Amino acid sequence: MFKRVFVEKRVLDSDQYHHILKHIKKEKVEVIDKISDIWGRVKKPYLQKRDNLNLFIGKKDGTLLKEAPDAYGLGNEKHFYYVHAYNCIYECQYCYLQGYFNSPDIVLYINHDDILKKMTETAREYPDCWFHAGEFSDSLALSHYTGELETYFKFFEKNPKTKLELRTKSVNTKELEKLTPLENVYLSFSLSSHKGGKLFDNKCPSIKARIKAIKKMYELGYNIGIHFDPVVYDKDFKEDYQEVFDELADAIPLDKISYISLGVVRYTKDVYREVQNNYPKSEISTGPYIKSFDNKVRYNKPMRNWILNTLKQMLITSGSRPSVIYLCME
Amino acid sequence: MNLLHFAHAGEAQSFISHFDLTPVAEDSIYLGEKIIVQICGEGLYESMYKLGHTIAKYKIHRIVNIGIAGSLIDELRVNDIVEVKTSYAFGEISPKFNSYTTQDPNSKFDCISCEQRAIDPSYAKKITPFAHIVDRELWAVGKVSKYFKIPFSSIKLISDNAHSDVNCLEIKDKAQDYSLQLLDYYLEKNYEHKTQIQSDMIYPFTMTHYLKKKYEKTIRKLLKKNYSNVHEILAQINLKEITELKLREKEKSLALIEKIEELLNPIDKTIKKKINTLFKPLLEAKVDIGLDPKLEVQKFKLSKEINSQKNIDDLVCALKNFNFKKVEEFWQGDLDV
Repeated sequence: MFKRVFVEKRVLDSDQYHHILKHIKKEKVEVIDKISDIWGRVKKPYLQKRDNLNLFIGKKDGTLLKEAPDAYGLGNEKHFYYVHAYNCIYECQYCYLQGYFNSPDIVLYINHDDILKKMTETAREYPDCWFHAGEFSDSLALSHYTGELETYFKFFEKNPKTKLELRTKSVNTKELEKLTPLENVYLSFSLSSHKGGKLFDNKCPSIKARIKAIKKMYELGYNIGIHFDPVVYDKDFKEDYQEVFDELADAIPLDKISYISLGVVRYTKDVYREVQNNYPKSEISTGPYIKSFDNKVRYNKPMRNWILNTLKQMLITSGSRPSVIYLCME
Repeated sequence: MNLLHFAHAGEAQSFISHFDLTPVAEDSIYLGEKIIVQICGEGLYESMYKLGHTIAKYKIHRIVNIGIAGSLIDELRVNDIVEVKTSYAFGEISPKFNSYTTQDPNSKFDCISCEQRAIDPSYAKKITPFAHIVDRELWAVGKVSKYFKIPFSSIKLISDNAHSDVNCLEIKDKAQDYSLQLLDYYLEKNYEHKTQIQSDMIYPFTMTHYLKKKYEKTIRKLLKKNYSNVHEILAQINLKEITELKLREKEKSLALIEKIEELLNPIDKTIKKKINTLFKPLLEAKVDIGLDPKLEVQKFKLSKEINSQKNIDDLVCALKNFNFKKVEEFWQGDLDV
């Protein structure tokens, strides 16, 4: 999977590094002083991830937890995401990561103890806060490499009021299957219509496979969250999404889903430029976009409200609880 | 015209003789009917200003950088020939941030252009994390290409491994051989014919530059959807009807653009129709409505010229019949679709 692997000298003796090493036997490991000496120092084109993807392993200095923006989750609790990885093995055409970092190379930070220390301090101040994994990287896709989930589960077992969300498009649930589900741990999957998944979620598991994984994890006892985000407008979107809602309802009772978020596609100006450059032939950039109130490129207000309200109503009619549906970033 | 860019005359010699090019001495340029060879000398700055000068003087469609490079990875051995994907640069002590990507979709290797020769292993170690091969010029070619919006490619022959001590004189001795190998590769990969830019755009009416751009932009977006060519798109529109309208060419073009925009985003038509219905009483009273064109701001301005009591009565009547609640609902997403 990785063309080259770079590892920081200071983590060579760590257990976490040796755990990852088991999975990257084939690649030659190159020892470096600091990730920041190389990663992001030059503008590496995003699409180099297709055939020239490198892996960096090291320690994260500086900010380990970031407060999430407003309208991030359901309710009024504080939301934070923890930074244990940068970049993703998938290649969703709308992904903001293509304009966020200067390199698509994957970084795995292995100083989970430092992150947990920071989480402990934050949980002391905001006992019922949420921690999210998967803001800068899919939280499950490489979880068999990184093997950190057990450590985090121990923390959340000790802090039952504090909640964890693992956001994913992956069906790599093996590591989670080894663990005992916790009341305060939520596994949330991003879904779209089948057509949207095929057109825009490059290299991701199909929607069908994701629904299958949702069923499996629900049956194991995990709390399930669903993100229908981003919704890309298509003239048949109602029928296309109804099909997915029906399939989801066949997999798990919709009223048992802990929360459902809805959001329409949106980009910062820089990300939109990257999307146009990286996917010049894709339908993704043909929408009737405008520059909106927050300078993001998105559909106009009546249109996005129409899409979101329509889908929300369809979800309710299909059996979802209205109180658990929220509109993301609106 | 292809501009073939070389650092040294030794690398270019086979190209000059094969294409029977005529020297233009003062610029280190060799001219042919479809090809220009330029020998820029070693280093980033030499290439940068010399290429800029040539591009300004001749009509260049593509720049192909051709030359030797050092390998930074074991996978690439001496005498391998590769096409470069992305070019980076290393300054005196650190890498330069910007990078430039070639037009070759199948290339797998990146090149870093250095301000000094990479002839000792310790220097090679410093630059290895950033690329697979090293040269002295390519980044400058990329920078100039980007500035002039000209596609560029790069063909590199591996002359040495930068992690071992490099003997520059030995490399110089092999210049003729390298040049022949590079020429063979260039001809085999049919670079001569990669410059043709096909345009299948059809303009049913005479358009101003501005309208042409607007029309092309919409057509290109439609081609990303379910349409395979422009004919197919135009077949969806009643072109005959527009042609027969007693309008000027510009107005016909505008009508055509409106039609294809509707085809691209039918939801826009729905929104326009909805606005017209909501504001009908005001529009009928000849009131100008100032709506935010992006429909983001939930307010609007009204203006009307008043020169009689009737105007005032019409305005009062229109305002009475106007339902603001419905407009609010529209902003909240009630499109009745």
